[in-house]
Amino acid sequence: MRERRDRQPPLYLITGIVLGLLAGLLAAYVILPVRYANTSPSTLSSAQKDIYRALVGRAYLYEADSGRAFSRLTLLQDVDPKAVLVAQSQQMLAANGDAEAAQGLGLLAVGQAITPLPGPTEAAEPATVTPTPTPDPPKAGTAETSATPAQAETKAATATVTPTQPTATPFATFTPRAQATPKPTQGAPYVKTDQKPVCDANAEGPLLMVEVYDSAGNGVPGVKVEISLPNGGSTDFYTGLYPEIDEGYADYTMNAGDTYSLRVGIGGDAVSGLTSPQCNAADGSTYAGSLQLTFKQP
Amino acid sequence: MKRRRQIGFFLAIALGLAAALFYGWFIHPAAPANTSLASLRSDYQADYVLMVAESYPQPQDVPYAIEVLRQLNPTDPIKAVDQALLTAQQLGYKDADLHLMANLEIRVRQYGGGQ
Repeated sequence: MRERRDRQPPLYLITGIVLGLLAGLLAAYVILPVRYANTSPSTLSSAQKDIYRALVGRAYLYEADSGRAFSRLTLLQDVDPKAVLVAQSQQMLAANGDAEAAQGLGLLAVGQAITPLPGPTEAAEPATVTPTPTPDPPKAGTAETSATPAQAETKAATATVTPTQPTATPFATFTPRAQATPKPTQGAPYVKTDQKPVCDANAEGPLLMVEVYDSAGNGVPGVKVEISLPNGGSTDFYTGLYPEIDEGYADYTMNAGDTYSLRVGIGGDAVSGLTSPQCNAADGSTYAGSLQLTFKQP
Repeated sequence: MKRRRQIGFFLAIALGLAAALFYGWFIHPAAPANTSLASLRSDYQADYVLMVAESYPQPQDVPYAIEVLRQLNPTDPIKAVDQALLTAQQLGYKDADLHLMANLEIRVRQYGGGQ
Protein backbone atom coordinates (compact mmCIF):
# COMPACT_ATOMS: atom_id res chain seq x y z
CA MET A 1 0.00 0.00 0.00
CA ARG A 2 2.83 2.35 0.95
CA GLU A 3 4.75 1.54 -2.24
CA ARG A 4 1.71 2.39 -4.28
CA ARG A 5 1.40 5.84 -2.66
CA ASP A 6 5.07 6.61 -3.33
CA ARG A 7 4.67 5.85 -7.02
CA GLN A 8 1.94 8.49 -7.40
CA PRO A 9 3.15 11.62 -9.23
CA PRO A 10 3.83 14.56 -6.91
CA LEU A 11 0.72 16.48 -7.88
CA TYR A 12 1.50 19.39 -5.57
CA LEU A 13 4.76 19.96 -7.47
CA ILE A 14 3.09 19.80 -10.87
CA THR A 15 0.35 22.14 -9.66
CA GLY A 16 2.93 24.56 -8.36
CA ILE A 17 4.89 24.56 -11.60
CA VAL A 18 1.75 25.09 -13.68
CA LEU A 19 0.64 27.97 -11.47
CA GLY A 20 4.10 29.50 -11.68
CA LEU A 21 4.19 29.14 -15.45
CA LEU A 22 0.81 30.79 -15.84
CA ALA A 23 1.74 33.65 -13.56
CA GLY A 24 5.06 34.06 -15.32
CA LEU A 25 3.53 34.15 -18.79
CA LEU A 26 0.96 36.65 -17.61
CA ALA A 27 3.71 38.85 -16.24
CA ALA A 28 6.00 38.47 -19.26
CA TYR A 29 3.37 39.24 -21.88
CA VAL A 30 0.75 41.39 -20.16
CA ILE A 31 1.82 42.95 -16.88
CA LEU A 32 5.52 43.49 -17.47
CA PRO A 33 6.19 42.94 -21.14
CA VAL A 34 9.57 43.71 -22.62
CA ARG A 35 9.95 47.43 -23.16
CA TYR A 36 11.81 48.21 -26.30
CA ALA A 37 14.26 50.90 -27.20
CA ASN A 38 15.68 51.67 -30.64
CA THR A 39 12.38 50.92 -32.31
CA SER A 40 11.14 51.90 -35.73
CA PRO A 41 8.13 54.13 -36.51
CA SER A 42 6.08 51.13 -37.61
CA THR A 43 5.86 49.96 -34.00
CA LEU A 44 4.50 53.24 -32.66
CA SER A 45 1.14 53.30 -30.97
CA SER A 46 -1.75 54.65 -32.97
CA ALA A 47 -1.70 58.01 -31.18
CA GLN A 48 2.04 58.38 -31.66
CA LYS A 49 1.71 57.50 -35.32
CA ASP A 50 -0.82 60.30 -35.65
CA ILE A 51 1.66 62.76 -34.18
CA TYR A 52 4.38 61.51 -36.51
CA ARG A 53 2.06 61.66 -39.52
CA ALA A 54 0.90 65.19 -38.68
CA LEU A 55 4.51 66.28 -38.52
CA VAL A 56 5.16 64.75 -41.93
CA GLY A 57 2.18 66.70 -43.27
CA ARG A 58 3.41 69.98 -41.82
CA ALA A 59 6.94 69.39 -43.06
CA TYR A 60 5.58 68.70 -46.53
CA LEU A 61 3.85 72.07 -46.59
CA TYR A 62 7.12 73.83 -45.86
CA GLU A 63 9.48 71.63 -47.83
CA ALA A 64 7.27 70.57 -50.75
CA ASP A 65 9.36 67.43 -50.97
CA SER A 66 6.94 64.65 -51.67
CA GLY A 67 9.71 62.07 -52.01
CA ARG A 68 10.93 62.74 -48.54
CA ALA A 69 7.41 62.88 -47.14
CA PHE A 70 6.43 59.56 -48.66
CA SER A 71 9.62 57.87 -47.54
CA ARG A 72 8.81 59.00 -44.03
CA LEU A 73 5.24 57.78 -44.29
CA THR A 74 6.46 54.45 -45.64
CA LEU A 75 8.23 53.88 -42.35
CA LEU A 76 4.85 53.69 -40.63
CA GLN A 77 3.93 50.70 -42.80
CA ASP A 78 0.27 51.63 -42.97
CA VAL A 79 -1.79 49.11 -44.91
CA ASP A 80 -3.61 51.79 -46.91
CA PRO A 81 -1.54 54.95 -46.53
CA LYS A 82 -3.79 57.11 -48.69
CA ALA A 83 -6.92 56.25 -46.72
CA VAL A 84 -5.09 56.83 -43.45
CA LEU A 85 -3.93 60.24 -44.62
CA VAL A 86 -7.41 61.26 -45.67
CA ALA A 87 -8.96 59.96 -42.46
CA GLN A 88 -6.49 61.71 -40.20
CA SER A 89 -6.76 64.93 -42.18
CA GLN A 90 -10.53 64.89 -41.83
CA GLN A 91 -10.36 64.07 -38.15
CA MET A 92 -7.95 66.92 -37.51
CA LEU A 93 -10.16 69.38 -39.33
CA ALA A 94 -13.27 68.14 -37.56
CA ALA A 95 -11.55 68.53 -34.21
CA ASN A 96 -10.23 72.00 -35.08
CA GLY A 97 -6.74 70.57 -34.89
CA ASP A 98 -3.63 71.67 -36.71
CA ALA A 99 -5.04 72.99 -39.99
CA GLU A 100 -1.64 73.15 -41.66
CA ALA A 101 -0.86 69.55 -40.85
CA ALA A 102 -4.31 68.54 -42.06
CA GLN A 103 -3.78 70.42 -45.30
CA GLY A 104 -0.38 68.82 -45.79
CA LEU A 105 -1.79 65.36 -45.23
CA GLY A 106 -4.66 66.06 -47.60
CA LEU A 107 -2.28 67.22 -50.28
CA LEU A 108 -0.09 64.19 -49.79
CA ALA A 109 -3.14 61.96 -50.08
CA VAL A 110 -3.95 63.33 -53.49
CA GLY A 111 -0.32 63.61 -54.55
CA GLN A 112 -0.59 67.31 -55.23
CA ALA A 113 2.67 69.13 -56.00
CA ILE A 114 2.90 72.37 -54.08
CA THR A 115 5.04 75.40 -53.61
CA PRO A 116 6.70 75.37 -50.20
CA LEU A 117 5.56 77.83 -47.60
CA PRO A 118 8.21 80.41 -46.80
CA GLY A 119 10.52 79.81 -43.90
CA PRO A 120 12.92 82.33 -42.43
CA THR A 121 15.89 80.03 -42.78
CA GLU A 122 15.49 79.50 -46.47
CA ALA A 123 17.51 82.54 -47.42
CA ALA A 124 20.49 81.17 -45.57
CA GLU A 125 20.45 77.92 -47.44
CA PRO A 126 22.70 77.44 -50.42
CA ALA A 127 21.10 78.05 -53.76
CA THR A 128 22.07 74.66 -55.07
CA VAL A 129 22.22 71.86 -52.61
CA THR A 130 24.57 69.06 -53.45
CA PRO A 131 23.07 65.91 -52.07
CA THR A 132 25.40 64.09 -49.76
CA PRO A 133 25.65 60.33 -49.98
CA THR A 134 22.54 59.01 -48.40
CA PRO A 135 21.83 55.69 -46.81
CA ASP A 136 19.92 53.16 -48.83
CA PRO A 137 16.22 53.87 -48.87
CA PRO A 138 14.01 51.46 -47.03
CA LYS A 139 12.51 48.76 -49.12
CA ALA A 140 9.05 47.54 -48.42
CA GLY A 141 9.04 44.27 -46.59
CA THR A 142 12.72 44.32 -45.72
CA ALA A 143 12.43 46.12 -42.48
CA GLU A 144 13.74 43.27 -40.45
CA THR A 145 16.70 42.34 -42.61
CA SER A 146 18.98 45.34 -42.71
CA ALA A 147 21.83 45.75 -40.32
CA THR A 148 21.55 48.01 -37.34
CA PRO A 149 23.73 51.09 -37.84
CA ALA A 150 26.72 51.75 -35.72
CA GLN A 151 25.13 54.94 -34.51
CA ALA A 152 22.34 53.01 -32.99
CA GLU A 153 24.85 50.98 -31.03
CA THR A 154 25.98 54.05 -29.18
CA LYS A 155 22.50 54.26 -27.79
CA ALA A 156 22.57 50.73 -26.58
CA ALA A 157 19.40 48.84 -26.15
CA THR A 158 18.16 49.78 -22.74
CA ALA A 159 15.18 47.81 -21.70
CA THR A 160 14.03 48.84 -18.32
CA VAL A 161 12.84 45.42 -17.38
CA THR A 162 14.72 43.00 -19.53
CA PRO A 163 17.27 43.14 -22.28
CA THR A 164 15.99 44.77 -25.39
CA GLN A 165 15.71 43.41 -28.85
CA PRO A 166 16.63 46.14 -31.31
CA THR A 167 14.47 46.10 -34.36
CA ALA A 168 16.86 45.85 -37.24
CA THR A 169 15.15 48.40 -39.39
CA PRO A 170 16.82 50.44 -42.08
CA PHE A 171 17.64 54.09 -41.95
CA ALA A 172 15.06 56.62 -42.78
CA THR A 173 15.53 57.86 -46.26
CA PHE A 174 16.95 61.30 -46.57
CA THR A 175 16.12 62.24 -50.07
CA PRO A 176 17.68 65.28 -51.65
CA ARG A 177 15.69 68.42 -51.27
CA ALA A 178 13.43 68.97 -54.21
CA GLN A 179 14.10 71.84 -56.52
CA ALA A 180 10.56 73.03 -56.14
CA THR A 181 9.01 73.93 -59.43
CA PRO A 182 7.23 77.22 -59.09
CA LYS A 183 3.61 76.33 -59.36
CA PRO A 184 1.13 78.75 -57.95
CA THR A 185 -1.22 77.13 -55.52
CA GLN A 186 -3.40 80.19 -55.44
CA GLY A 187 -3.72 81.88 -58.80
CA ALA A 188 -6.54 84.09 -59.92
CA PRO A 189 -9.40 84.31 -57.44
CA TYR A 190 -12.06 81.67 -57.80
CA VAL A 191 -15.41 82.78 -59.09
CA LYS A 192 -18.70 81.10 -58.36
CA THR A 193 -20.07 79.63 -61.55
CA ASP A 194 -22.93 77.53 -60.28
CA GLN A 195 -25.14 77.05 -57.25
CA LYS A 196 -27.89 74.49 -57.05
CA PRO A 197 -29.84 72.58 -54.43
CA VAL A 198 -29.24 68.85 -54.14
CA CYS A 199 -32.04 66.71 -52.77
CA ASP A 200 -30.86 63.33 -51.56
CA ALA A 201 -32.89 61.78 -48.79
CA ASN A 202 -30.08 59.32 -48.13
CA ALA A 203 -27.45 61.99 -47.52
CA GLU A 204 -25.93 62.09 -44.03
CA GLY A 205 -27.12 65.61 -43.49
CA PRO A 206 -27.57 68.90 -45.27
CA LEU A 207 -24.20 69.42 -46.89
CA LEU A 208 -22.58 72.49 -48.28
CA MET A 209 -20.77 70.89 -51.19
CA VAL A 210 -18.00 72.93 -52.78
CA GLU A 211 -16.25 72.04 -56.01
CA VAL A 212 -13.21 74.04 -57.07
CA TYR A 213 -11.77 73.87 -60.57
CA ASP A 214 -8.89 75.60 -62.28
CA SER A 215 -9.26 77.38 -65.57
CA ALA A 216 -8.68 74.10 -67.41
CA GLY A 217 -11.56 72.45 -65.59
CA ASN A 218 -9.42 70.23 -63.35
CA GLY A 219 -10.34 69.82 -59.69
CA VAL A 220 -7.93 71.68 -57.43
CA PRO A 221 -7.05 70.07 -54.10
CA GLY A 222 -5.73 71.95 -51.10
CA VAL A 223 -7.80 75.07 -51.61
CA LYS A 224 -8.88 76.67 -48.38
CA VAL A 225 -12.59 77.26 -47.97
CA GLU A 226 -13.43 79.67 -45.19
CA ILE A 227 -16.97 79.48 -43.94
CA SER A 228 -18.58 82.00 -41.63
CA LEU A 229 -20.75 80.42 -39.00
CA PRO A 230 -24.12 81.74 -37.86
CA ASN A 231 -22.79 82.40 -34.35
CA GLY A 232 -20.21 84.79 -35.70
CA GLY A 233 -17.21 82.47 -35.79
CA SER A 234 -15.60 80.91 -38.79
CA THR A 235 -13.94 77.66 -39.70
CA ASP A 236 -11.77 76.41 -42.53
CA PHE A 237 -11.80 73.27 -44.56
CA TYR A 238 -9.90 72.20 -47.62
CA THR A 239 -10.62 70.61 -50.94
CA GLY A 240 -8.98 67.35 -51.86
CA LEU A 241 -9.95 65.27 -48.87
CA TYR A 242 -12.39 63.22 -50.91
CA PRO A 243 -10.33 62.22 -53.94
CA GLU A 244 -12.80 59.41 -54.58
CA ILE A 245 -15.38 62.10 -55.42
CA ASP A 246 -13.18 64.76 -56.97
CA GLU A 247 -9.85 66.29 -56.12
CA GLY A 248 -11.47 69.69 -56.00
CA TYR A 249 -14.34 68.61 -53.77
CA ALA A 250 -14.97 69.54 -50.16
CA ASP A 251 -18.08 69.60 -48.02
CA TYR A 252 -19.35 70.96 -44.75
CA THR A 253 -22.35 69.77 -42.77
CA MET A 254 -24.83 72.60 -42.26
CA ASN A 255 -27.43 73.01 -39.60
CA ALA A 256 -30.84 73.22 -41.21
CA GLY A 257 -32.20 76.74 -40.96
CA ASP A 258 -28.83 78.43 -40.37
CA THR A 259 -27.40 80.83 -42.91
CA TYR A 260 -23.75 80.71 -43.90
CA SER A 261 -21.35 82.58 -46.09
CA LEU A 262 -18.11 81.31 -47.52
CA ARG A 263 -15.02 82.34 -49.40
CA VAL A 264 -12.95 80.04 -51.60
CA GLY A 265 -9.20 80.55 -51.78
CA ILE A 266 -7.46 83.84 -51.28
CA GLY A 267 -9.11 86.92 -52.67
CA GLY A 268 -12.23 85.16 -53.82
CA ASP A 269 -15.61 86.77 -53.52
CA ALA A 270 -17.61 85.96 -50.42
CA VAL A 271 -20.79 84.07 -51.15
CA SER A 272 -23.40 84.78 -48.53
CA GLY A 273 -26.96 83.78 -47.76
CA LEU A 274 -26.27 80.07 -48.05
CA THR A 275 -28.90 77.98 -46.37
CA SER A 276 -30.14 74.46 -46.66
CA PRO A 277 -32.95 74.14 -49.26
CA GLN A 278 -36.16 72.38 -48.43
CA CYS A 279 -36.70 69.17 -50.34
CA ASN A 280 -39.82 67.07 -50.72
CA ALA A 281 -39.63 63.41 -49.88
CA ALA A 282 -41.56 60.73 -51.76
CA ASP A 283 -44.04 60.43 -48.91
CA GLY A 284 -44.85 64.12 -49.08
CA SER A 285 -42.79 65.17 -46.09
CA THR A 286 -39.99 67.68 -46.33
CA TYR A 287 -36.36 67.49 -45.33
CA ALA A 288 -33.28 69.72 -45.40
CA GLY A 289 -31.38 69.28 -48.62
CA SER A 290 -27.82 70.06 -49.61
CA LEU A 291 -26.37 72.93 -51.54
CA GLN A 292 -23.79 72.51 -54.28
CA LEU A 293 -21.53 75.39 -55.26
CA THR A 294 -19.05 75.33 -58.10
CA PHE A 295 -16.09 77.68 -58.27
CA LYS A 296 -13.72 78.12 -61.13
CA GLN A 297 -10.70 80.20 -61.96
CA PRO A 298 -11.42 82.47 -64.89
CA MET B 1 5.78 15.74 5.70
CA LYS B 2 3.13 18.43 5.27
CA ARG B 3 5.70 21.18 5.69
CA ARG B 4 7.96 19.54 3.12
CA ARG B 5 5.08 19.51 0.68
CA GLN B 6 4.35 23.17 1.30
CA ILE B 7 7.94 24.11 0.69
CA GLY B 8 8.02 22.00 -2.44
CA PHE B 9 4.80 23.55 -3.68
CA PHE B 10 6.12 27.10 -3.37
CA LEU B 11 9.45 26.14 -4.86
CA ALA B 12 7.59 24.68 -7.83
CA ILE B 13 5.66 27.93 -8.27
CA ALA B 14 8.90 29.90 -8.16
CA LEU B 15 10.46 27.55 -10.68
CA GLY B 16 7.52 27.86 -13.06
CA LEU B 17 7.47 31.61 -12.65
CA ALA B 18 11.17 31.92 -13.39
CA ALA B 19 10.91 29.64 -16.42
CA ALA B 20 7.98 31.55 -17.86
CA LEU B 21 9.63 34.92 -17.30
CA PHE B 22 12.83 33.70 -18.90
CA TYR B 23 10.85 32.47 -21.87
CA GLY B 24 8.73 35.60 -22.19
CA TRP B 25 11.54 38.07 -21.72
CA PHE B 26 14.53 36.40 -23.36
CA ILE B 27 13.55 33.53 -25.61
CA HIS B 28 10.31 34.72 -27.16
CA PRO B 29 9.59 38.30 -26.10
CA ALA B 30 6.42 40.04 -27.18
CA ALA B 31 6.84 41.83 -30.49
CA PRO B 32 7.36 45.57 -30.20
CA ALA B 33 4.04 47.35 -30.41
CA ASN B 34 2.48 50.50 -29.08
CA THR B 35 5.86 52.04 -28.57
CA SER B 36 6.42 55.74 -28.08
CA LEU B 37 8.33 58.29 -30.10
CA ALA B 38 10.84 58.47 -27.27
CA SER B 39 11.81 54.87 -27.92
CA LEU B 40 12.66 55.45 -31.59
CA ARG B 41 16.14 54.62 -32.75
CA SER B 42 18.49 57.58 -32.83
CA ASP B 43 18.44 57.99 -36.62
CA TYR B 44 14.66 58.10 -36.63
CA GLN B 45 14.73 60.58 -33.77
CA ALA B 46 17.12 62.75 -35.77
CA ASP B 47 14.74 62.72 -38.70
CA TYR B 48 11.87 63.56 -36.35
CA VAL B 49 13.76 66.59 -35.07
CA LEU B 50 14.50 67.60 -38.65
CA MET B 51 10.77 67.41 -39.36
CA VAL B 52 10.12 69.67 -36.38
CA ALA B 53 12.71 72.11 -37.67
CA GLU B 54 11.09 72.06 -41.11
CA SER B 55 7.56 72.32 -39.77
CA TYR B 56 7.99 75.14 -37.30
CA PRO B 57 10.32 77.64 -38.98
CA GLN B 58 8.88 80.84 -37.58
CA PRO B 59 10.01 82.33 -34.27
CA GLN B 60 6.45 82.32 -32.99
CA ASP B 61 6.29 78.56 -33.63
CA VAL B 62 8.82 77.73 -30.93
CA PRO B 63 6.32 76.87 -28.17
CA TYR B 64 4.59 74.43 -30.52
CA ALA B 65 7.92 72.99 -31.60
CA ILE B 66 8.86 72.44 -27.99
CA GLU B 67 5.61 70.60 -27.35
CA VAL B 68 6.30 68.28 -30.25
CA LEU B 69 9.91 67.79 -29.17
CA ARG B 70 8.74 66.77 -25.71
CA GLN B 71 7.52 63.58 -27.33
CA LEU B 72 11.19 62.60 -27.59
CA ASN B 73 12.32 63.89 -24.25
CA PRO B 74 9.54 65.09 -21.95
CA THR B 75 11.87 66.82 -19.52
CA ASP B 76 14.57 68.24 -21.78
CA PRO B 77 13.63 68.95 -25.40
CA ILE B 78 16.94 70.74 -26.00
CA LYS B 79 18.76 67.55 -25.19
CA ALA B 80 16.67 65.77 -27.80
CA VAL B 81 17.68 68.34 -30.40
CA ASP B 82 21.34 68.20 -29.38
CA GLN B 83 21.38 64.43 -29.65
CA ALA B 84 19.61 64.59 -32.99
CA LEU B 85 22.16 67.10 -34.30
CA LEU B 86 24.96 64.79 -33.29
CA THR B 87 23.34 61.85 -34.99
CA ALA B 88 22.60 63.91 -38.07
CA GLN B 89 26.24 64.91 -38.35
CA GLN B 90 27.35 61.31 -37.97
CA LEU B 91 24.92 60.22 -40.65
CA GLY B 92 26.05 62.88 -43.08
CA TYR B 93 22.93 64.99 -43.27
CA LYS B 94 23.03 67.79 -45.79
CA ASP B 95 24.29 71.14 -44.62
CA ALA B 96 20.88 72.69 -45.23
CA ASP B 97 19.23 70.18 -42.91
CA LEU B 98 21.90 70.60 -40.26
CA HIS B 99 21.41 74.33 -40.54
CA LEU B 100 17.67 73.95 -39.96
CA MET B 101 18.23 71.76 -36.92
CA ALA B 102 20.86 74.08 -35.50
CA ASN B 103 18.50 77.01 -35.90
CA LEU B 104 15.82 75.07 -34.08
CA GLU B 105 18.23 74.30 -31.28
CA ILE B 106 19.13 77.98 -30.94
CA ARG B 107 15.49 79.10 -30.97
CA VAL B 108 14.44 76.48 -28.43
CA ARG B 109 17.37 77.36 -26.20
CA GLN B 110 16.57 81.07 -26.42
CA TYR B 111 13.00 80.33 -25.50
CA GLY B 112 14.15 78.36 -22.50
CA GLY B 113 12.61 75.16 -23.73
CA GLY B 114 14.83 72.98 -21.65
CA GLN B 115 13.33 74.15 -18.41
